[in-house]
Amino acid sequence: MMVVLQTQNLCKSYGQVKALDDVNVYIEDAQLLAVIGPSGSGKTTLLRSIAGFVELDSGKILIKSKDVTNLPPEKRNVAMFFQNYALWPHMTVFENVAYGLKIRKYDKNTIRERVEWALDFLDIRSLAERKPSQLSGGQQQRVALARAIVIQPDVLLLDEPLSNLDAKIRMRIRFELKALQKRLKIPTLYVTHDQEEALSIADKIAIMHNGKVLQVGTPEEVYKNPVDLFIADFIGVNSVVKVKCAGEKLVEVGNLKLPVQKETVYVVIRAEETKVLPIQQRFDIAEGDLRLEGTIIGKLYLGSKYRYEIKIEGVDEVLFINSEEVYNVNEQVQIISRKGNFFIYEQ
Amino acid sequence: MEVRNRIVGFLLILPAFLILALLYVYPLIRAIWMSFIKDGFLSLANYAKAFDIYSRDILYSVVITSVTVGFVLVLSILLASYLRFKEWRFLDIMYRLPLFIPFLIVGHAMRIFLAPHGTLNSLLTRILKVEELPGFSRSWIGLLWTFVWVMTPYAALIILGAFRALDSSYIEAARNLGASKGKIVFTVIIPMCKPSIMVAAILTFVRTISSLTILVMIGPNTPNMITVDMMFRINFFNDWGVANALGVISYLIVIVLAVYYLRFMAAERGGIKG
Ligand SMILES: Nc1ncnc2c1ncn2[C@@H]1O[C@H](COP(=O)(O)OP(=O)(O)O)[C@@H](O)[C@H]1O
Ligand SMILES: [Mg+2]
Repeated sequence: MMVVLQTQNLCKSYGQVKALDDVNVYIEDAQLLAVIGPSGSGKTTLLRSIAGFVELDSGKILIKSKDVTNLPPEKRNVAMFFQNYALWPHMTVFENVAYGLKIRKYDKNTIRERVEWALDFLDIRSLAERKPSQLSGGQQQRVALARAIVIQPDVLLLDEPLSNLDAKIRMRIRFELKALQKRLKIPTLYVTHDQEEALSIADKIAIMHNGKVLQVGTPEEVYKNPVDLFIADFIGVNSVVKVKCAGEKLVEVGNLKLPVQKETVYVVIRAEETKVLPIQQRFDIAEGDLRLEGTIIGKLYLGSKYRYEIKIEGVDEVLFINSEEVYNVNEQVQIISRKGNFFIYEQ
Repeated sequence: MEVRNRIVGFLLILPAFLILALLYVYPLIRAIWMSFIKDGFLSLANYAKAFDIYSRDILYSVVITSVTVGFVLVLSILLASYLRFKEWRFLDIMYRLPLFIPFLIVGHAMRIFLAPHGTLNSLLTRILKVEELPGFSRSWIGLLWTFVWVMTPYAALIILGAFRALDSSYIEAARNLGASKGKIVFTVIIPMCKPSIMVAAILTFVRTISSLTILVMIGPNTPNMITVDMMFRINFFNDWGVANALGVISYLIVIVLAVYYLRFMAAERGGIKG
């Protein structure tokens, strides 16, 4: 195991806003680290400071054990993929991809060989002589990727690479991108606000919020053991039950009696892994499972299933839970969530 | 209904159109027409005379103007590149100051600065430790110096505007791939801002070749530029025919540029190089 990229205690403020607040992340070998978080959480700032475009207030960046904190962007061997692709319109595809190699003063033949390798790798050899304006969005994206990987960077930085593509293509490219990264074995930092994308593509996930990294772990770890309310709610599709406790030491949520110290108890329920059953149906619940009773107050047809809006007595927020069973509005139902599919937090 | 709308539309633009026609199109056509009239007859005599007396001045005008454009472009691209990468408010404001100084005052200031015993020469004589130096104020060097001084801010304003409007990601992508700032200016910024640089070049050319004040203030007496010759023709000989012929010749020079520019723009847009 070798740590290729490491950030140590990165801090960056813009006025009052802490864009980076003591950020520590690292990438081992050819891993793909996905950085996720809502808009404004500091993901782009993190990525840009690794590329050298952000002047940090404090902290250190190591690439292959070398301190690059004070190196200008052009001296760091990291390749960045820009959200808008940033292909130069006056150059052909070939010239765009060859740019980094020309700067590195390779001879003509080597440049040709390497560019053709990259174009083949991304299956765009036939576009070599076109200008970017003659390409579709998907093709431009491949060119931008070819331009980044052809220089054999130490680290590949991707800022929301799929956000400009429509949903259908996005799904396909997601897998292609992962396969490509595994074949190339380039350590990669992948920024996205789409938790589903991150879960499906990442070796490790770092979750950011307000400039802080809240948790780092494998997709399974962060999905199964979210360390706080924000992460539990951010990852996956969830409904949150919020119960205020008026000074009591025990709060009742469905069948559970929860000891409390703070003011409010939040129960985050993974909507995908929760059952909705008719109220009379007998169902054996085990120790630690959650059972709630409620009334259907709305439903949406989703094709293979329904999305139910369920009101629970004494809880303000309504729950949204998907189920293949058919219920009518105003019908009484029970909601069952197995241990491990819901999380309890106090605040 | 359709027809009525058109009439209303026409009536709305009519005043602007009339003013334009009256103040611009009519004098232009009249000047062209008069350049072909000699002693009440249609002829090319004015042109024959203009080329006979002034062909050296026409060449001189084109050369001085072209050299001015060259210097102005180099300086304003240097300035714009610097300010694109580095924020320096002082320079950002200072370079625009000449924009607000009337040509007459610039001409006068330059006359003092470039005179035989002017500011520049007192400095130079002291540095070079020589007794006497010729003044630059009535030579092509002084004229070039003044033109460049006056025209650079305009060109820099246009070019810096274009440089700043260029999305940073294009520049950052190049830096990310290892390019130095100088390299980026030549491989990314200038090629991507070519249309604006062309506009700056053409405006500088037109403004220089049609300027008169500065020439009268500090230009050499001979050779002279077309505008001064036109003034002489009118003031001393009341010879509007030759003056108009000279005017038309300078129009033609500019029109050649304009055509070149339009073809360049068409090529930029549609890729139809001709
Ligand atoms: N150049 C900047 N100037 C001022 N504020 C900035 C700048 N860049 C980022 N910020 C602020 O820093 C925070 C984090 O931004 P960013 O890293 O772009 O978040 P994300 O990519 O996660 O959406 C935001 O509040 C943003 O407004
Ligand atoms: Mg961002």
